[in-house]
Amino acid sequence: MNTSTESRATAPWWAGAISGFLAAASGVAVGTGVAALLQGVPSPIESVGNRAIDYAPPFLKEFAVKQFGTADKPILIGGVVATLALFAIVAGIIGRKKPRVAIGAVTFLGVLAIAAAAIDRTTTASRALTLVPSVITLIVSLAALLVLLANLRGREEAAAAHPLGLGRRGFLKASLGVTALVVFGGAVGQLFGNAAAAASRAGIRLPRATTPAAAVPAGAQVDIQGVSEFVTPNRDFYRVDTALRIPDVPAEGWNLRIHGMVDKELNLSFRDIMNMDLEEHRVTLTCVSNEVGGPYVGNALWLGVRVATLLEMAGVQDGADAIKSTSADRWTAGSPLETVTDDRNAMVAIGMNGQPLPLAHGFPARLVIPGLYGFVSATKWLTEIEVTKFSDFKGYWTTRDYTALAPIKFSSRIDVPKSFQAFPQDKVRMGGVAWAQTVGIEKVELSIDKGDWFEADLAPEDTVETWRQWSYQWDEATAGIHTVMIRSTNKNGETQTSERAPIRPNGTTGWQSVQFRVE
Amino acid sequence: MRTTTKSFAVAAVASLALFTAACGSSDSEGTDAGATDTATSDAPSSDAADPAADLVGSGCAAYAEAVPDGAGSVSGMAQDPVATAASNNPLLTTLVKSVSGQLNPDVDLVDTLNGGEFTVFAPVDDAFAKLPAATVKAVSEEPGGKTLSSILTYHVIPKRIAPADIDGTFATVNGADLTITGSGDDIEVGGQAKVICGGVQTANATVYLIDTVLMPPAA
Repeated sequence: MNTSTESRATAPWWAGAISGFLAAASGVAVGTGVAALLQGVPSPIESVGNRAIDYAPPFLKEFAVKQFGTADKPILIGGVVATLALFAIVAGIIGRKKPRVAIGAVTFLGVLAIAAAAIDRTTTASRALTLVPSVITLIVSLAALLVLLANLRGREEAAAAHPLGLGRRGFLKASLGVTALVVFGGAVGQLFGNAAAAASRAGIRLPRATTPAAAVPAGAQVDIQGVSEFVTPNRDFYRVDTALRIPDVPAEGWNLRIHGMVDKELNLSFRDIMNMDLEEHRVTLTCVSNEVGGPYVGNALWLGVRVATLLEMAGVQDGADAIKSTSADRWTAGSPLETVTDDRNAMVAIGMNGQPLPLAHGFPARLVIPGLYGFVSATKWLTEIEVTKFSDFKGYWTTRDYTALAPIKFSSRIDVPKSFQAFPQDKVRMGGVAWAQTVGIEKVELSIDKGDWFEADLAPEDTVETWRQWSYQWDEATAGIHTVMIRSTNKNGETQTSERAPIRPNGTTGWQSVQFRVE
Repeated sequence: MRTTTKSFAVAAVASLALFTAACGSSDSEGTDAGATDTATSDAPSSDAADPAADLVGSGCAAYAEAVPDGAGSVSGMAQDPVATAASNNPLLTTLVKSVSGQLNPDVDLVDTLNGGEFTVFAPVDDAFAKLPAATVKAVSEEPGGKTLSSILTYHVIPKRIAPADIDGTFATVNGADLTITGSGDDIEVGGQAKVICGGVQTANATVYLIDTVLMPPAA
């Protein structure tokens, strides 16, 4: 029935494509499942993604700087997956005729993943353990590819002998078997990723603070719809970091090492920290990537131990001028020593708004230093504090065109009106926030339609480490289109500059303006 | 044979979905159990992965040819907020001048346009060139600021609208309604302008390049 031409034909291209795709998918899925079971080990895709971040060319970094913490991570992962899938599919198609090429290609991909794992700075496990998922990925991918290609060839030979195609069934079976492997690996990965830290967090009851924070002063929250909540709820708090996957760090087994230019190295467990005198302070954090008028500012109640207390226990040696803090995924920040020893409330925090730190915000412990941008102070998943000198190291972003020193540039924001908001003429009420951490906000001024500056009503101050809200009711509002502009003055008598500065190398400046309409 | 093909297809699709889920979710799955603190709602939409996917208009090819890469290209614009993105586009120099205080110092919409989600009808330079010189002069002088604001805000709708949903009547941030008709390569805006290339993504707005400056109805 079959003509000889048909029996000699190679398997169709799509069967090759499926073979290549399934081979890679099964390897990655099983590798990811294994990684999820091993504590602190990144999956092969994450390791490759982390490499991509570190080797990214400048324009991509620029892009990441703008967007890191938001959608760039899914996009990066998606890009790695798409590239891998395409490569594997092409390898599979070629593999129909030249199995060796396909085997070589899959081996190459596997070795690439192993190499990425070998130098992945985000692992919190031993190097040998970190290699396990990618080695398994390579083995499973190769095995799956060999089985699938063998069945493809079997299909041709079988087709020649049995026109009904026994081999075809063999290939189908092999495909389904490999697909089952993909499902299994994927399910394990889904079920167990970050499980250790989540379970650990669920079991923690935070102790009461020895020094609790005073209540938020009455009126600190202005009563205008659309103005930020004075204390930012955990779910709304901005997240900006370089972690592709949130480090899985259970409190049990976590250790904070304080070392470097100290008399006595300290190693503290989570319980050690919980048993210390804990303080509670509201501190407003700010990200250097915040545009004028942008959203990367948040105010939370932090529970923790003063960094100064820990450094006193360790004994700081003469000559030190910095601390280098390191996260579980090996991210680093450098902060001036004086910012953790002066009277500001610099803390190793274990609680945020009455809860253990959310995983995304650094569970089990993070650094909080009032007055410094996050990239030089707010280390999450904190594991090390090294007392050192600025001349001896550079933090993660300082090696990427950002400055070593980065105090927060005081600023102000219009929350209401939102862009182009329309108000009824008798209800033009505006409001927002201003921040000058460690100094305090003295004055917020507005200008409507480029008119003279006038003072907005300042809400009561909580502390100089928190933002301060403002409001203004425009009674003489006229119908039509208007623009409001804002600037603040801090308690040192300095007024915000109108000069626009970009995010890099140490934060934006400028007066925000918003157009709105009165009806 | 057909059954077999179908089975393969099903297996392939199923495994693709699982594969994506297994890998793509590792970023967010730690955030359950009270730890759902992702970034703010200002996060750029994830369709930025392929900014060119959704383009409509007969002028898209010419645009891509004129600005093949860099910050003003289709993919470059997807990364910046709209006013910043427009400032990098060589076809929009007059529009950028008019929204950034360079045409009339009283009209600076850069922060306003960069905050929030919008659809922006962006007249290209040739569109501004068609305006009578007297009109341009009038809106560039101090008393013309209100008129300029009124014209510019008639080009902005306070939500993102994809090309597939663009046919309809929408309230602009000017307050007046704007009616858009047609689809694909034949979209007319306000009965006054044609879309040259639409569905261009920026970090916070969807942009439609148009060939004529829209004039709002007399208030």
